[in-house]
Amino acid sequence: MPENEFYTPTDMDRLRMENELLAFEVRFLKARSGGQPEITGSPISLSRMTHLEEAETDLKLLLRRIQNSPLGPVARTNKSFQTLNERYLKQPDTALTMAPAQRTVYLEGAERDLVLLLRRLGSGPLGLYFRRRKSFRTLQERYL
Amino acid sequence: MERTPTDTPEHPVFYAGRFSEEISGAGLPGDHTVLSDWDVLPAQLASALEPASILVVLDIFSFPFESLTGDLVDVPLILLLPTGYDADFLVTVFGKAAFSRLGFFDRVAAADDDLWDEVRRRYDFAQGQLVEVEDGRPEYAAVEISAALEAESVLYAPSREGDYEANRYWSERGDALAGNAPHRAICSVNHGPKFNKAIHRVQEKVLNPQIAAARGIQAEEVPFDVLEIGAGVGRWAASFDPAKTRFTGVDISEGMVEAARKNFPQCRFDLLGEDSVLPYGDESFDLSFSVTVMHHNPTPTKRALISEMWRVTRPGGRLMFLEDFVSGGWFTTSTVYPMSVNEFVGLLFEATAGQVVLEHVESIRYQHDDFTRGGLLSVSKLGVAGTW
Amino acid sequence: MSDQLIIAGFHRSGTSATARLLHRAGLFLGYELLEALPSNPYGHFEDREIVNLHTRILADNDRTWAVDEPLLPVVGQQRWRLMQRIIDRRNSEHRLWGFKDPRACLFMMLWKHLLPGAKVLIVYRHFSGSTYSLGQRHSSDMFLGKGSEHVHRRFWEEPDFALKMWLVHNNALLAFARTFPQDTMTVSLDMIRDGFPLVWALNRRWNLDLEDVPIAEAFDQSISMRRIRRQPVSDRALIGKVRKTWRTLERLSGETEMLLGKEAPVA
Repeated sequence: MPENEFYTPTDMDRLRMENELLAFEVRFLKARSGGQPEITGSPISLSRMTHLEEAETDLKLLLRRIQNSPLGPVARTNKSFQTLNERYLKQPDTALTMAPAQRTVYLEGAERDLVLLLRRLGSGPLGLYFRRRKSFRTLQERYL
Repeated sequence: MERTPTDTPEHPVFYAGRFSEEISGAGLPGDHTVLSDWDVLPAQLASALEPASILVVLDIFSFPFESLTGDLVDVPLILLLPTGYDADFLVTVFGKAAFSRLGFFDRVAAADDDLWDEVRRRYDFAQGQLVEVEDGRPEYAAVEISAALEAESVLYAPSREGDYEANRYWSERGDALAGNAPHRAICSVNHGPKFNKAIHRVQEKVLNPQIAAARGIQAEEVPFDVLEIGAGVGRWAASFDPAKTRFTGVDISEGMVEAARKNFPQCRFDLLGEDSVLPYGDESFDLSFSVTVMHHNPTPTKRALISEMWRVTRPGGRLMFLEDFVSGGWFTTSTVYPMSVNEFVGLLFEATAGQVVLEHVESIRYQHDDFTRGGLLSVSKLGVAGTW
Repeated sequence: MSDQLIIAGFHRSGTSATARLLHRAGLFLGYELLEALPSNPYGHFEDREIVNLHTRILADNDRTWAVDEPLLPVVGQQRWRLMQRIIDRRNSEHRLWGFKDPRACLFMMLWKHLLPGAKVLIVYRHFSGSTYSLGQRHSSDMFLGKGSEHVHRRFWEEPDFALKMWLVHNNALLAFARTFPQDTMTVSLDMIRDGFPLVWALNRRWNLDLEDVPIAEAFDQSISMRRIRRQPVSDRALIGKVRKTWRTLERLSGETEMLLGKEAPVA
């Protein structure tokens, strides 16, 4: 190892400039690779995190709407719906107190649950009913 | 590899090969080392070349060119063309091993003008890569080459009346060095030739693929119109295939423009006025680029130059900037206006009204410097062609 | 031959109400206009396809819609093709079409590249109004657990975040206006509230043939908040830049009024 492998940046401006340059380069590399930081251990990108948070919110919205719609009583007897209700509507604050890694796992689960729910609702006996709704179609377009 | 300053300053190293007795007795002036063919065995070559600012190969028949690998390639070469051989023979024997590895910072010493012309034509060498010698015999050529190197190494002291003013400084510097040491006008005048070749090689490694990418989008039979801002003696003209490229360079120094014209007579070099207005029509070039020019200029000049570069580039064409994006400028004799990449992007936006998209970004690390970082930024110009 | 009119303005600057007005006047704004979802609270009159495209380009460049510094985007071939598909469909089916999306402020030059003849209506609002409105919305959403916490946080953790956003978006609009003055009309939210005959002006300027619709149908003037607040700022270096941008916007809208003032019908 070379003797002088460490240096201490003494000029804050240069440190800022170096950070900016490297951040710029990393963003470009992500963009060029399709924005998919699938490498294990690499931190989740901001845009991906935002997407997951939006998925969770949209899932909650969808569950509430189903609950408050004419289909509500029927939905509440369905075991899967009860599970989702329990997980996302009855404990809304739990997610906010989770550690970052845990929260990511939770949000990725929410995204998967939303996708499953949209598929089931869109293709089941009531598919036609749901697909007539613009907001449902918006969610389908976004997540399926 | 981190280089720490050594007590022994760098100096020319002469490889005398079979002629070491004659060369040692020739009384070469100044600091130098003479190597025999024993000194360049692979195990010893690296340490033999450690103090070398330049390696003068006086006996190309016995030099192990293939051993010049890794950091050793940073040492600029001067190859003495032996007398009594024709170009065909020399090219056949040394073409692959020696001549084709010579870059802009390497040179050829020749007593025979015709021989030089022939080799130059075959390898597209610049005229400035010739070290003229009267007598091609190694012991006499060594003395002439040594004297020439001594003359080139005179320190350049810029006039320090008042503060650093970019246009004045660079035109004075270029004019002063154009006469006897135009190569030294490149990169850094305070460092030796090895430093400058090393910098160039680092930059070349990053720039060449992007030049190819810019070229790649164009049909082969269409000439590639290229413009360099701050072209100096034309070192980057050597990176383009003259058969497929129409290379134009501008510089603020008349001396540099003259030297560039001698180096590359097939290219066009023009003087840039202090108003930063490029003497070309709109949408004349497929690629406009600058290498370590912007960071020497204040913001208004940067903005004006970028705006002009955008104007003269064709829609779909590229603008490339290889500049320092992490630098100091903290010492009184600095010629740098430090700018971060974000600041530069902001300036790019102002100067082009945002009519560009990003094609490539790459940070550049220079071995000699912990703090300074360069970067290459390549953007495409948006818009519909205004002229056919 | 189709004409295009893009409604461009920073978030919370009155673009939704402007879009509502022009939509009623007959401007086609998209095949699926979004309603406001928690994940897209300002989504009124935004075309799903267009918003998705902009969001994808932003995501490609590791950004969300909350951009506070100049964005030099990477735009992949897929995105260009998608833009062209969007354009081709609308051109083939509509004589006049457009879209509204504040994200478009950052991509005006991309659209102009593919639509050289497109016209742009810039709508702007005083920075204090936009930034206050953004801050208010994001604090309540964060409190209610709606939308992206990451984005909400930025409005509180990063000094001058909303102001920098306002600056970046409006500077991008001004760069467009400077480059294509014949294809740009700039109006302020206040102007429209005060009864500036926008539809008449657009028709007069560019022969768009929109139906004249009373402003009151789109703008609820009884709840208009005209008061200009004091703008909090941490980095005082921003003040000069913000002022310059504001003055330029005001000058451009003044030019709009003058250009069309004498001939404008009385409200």
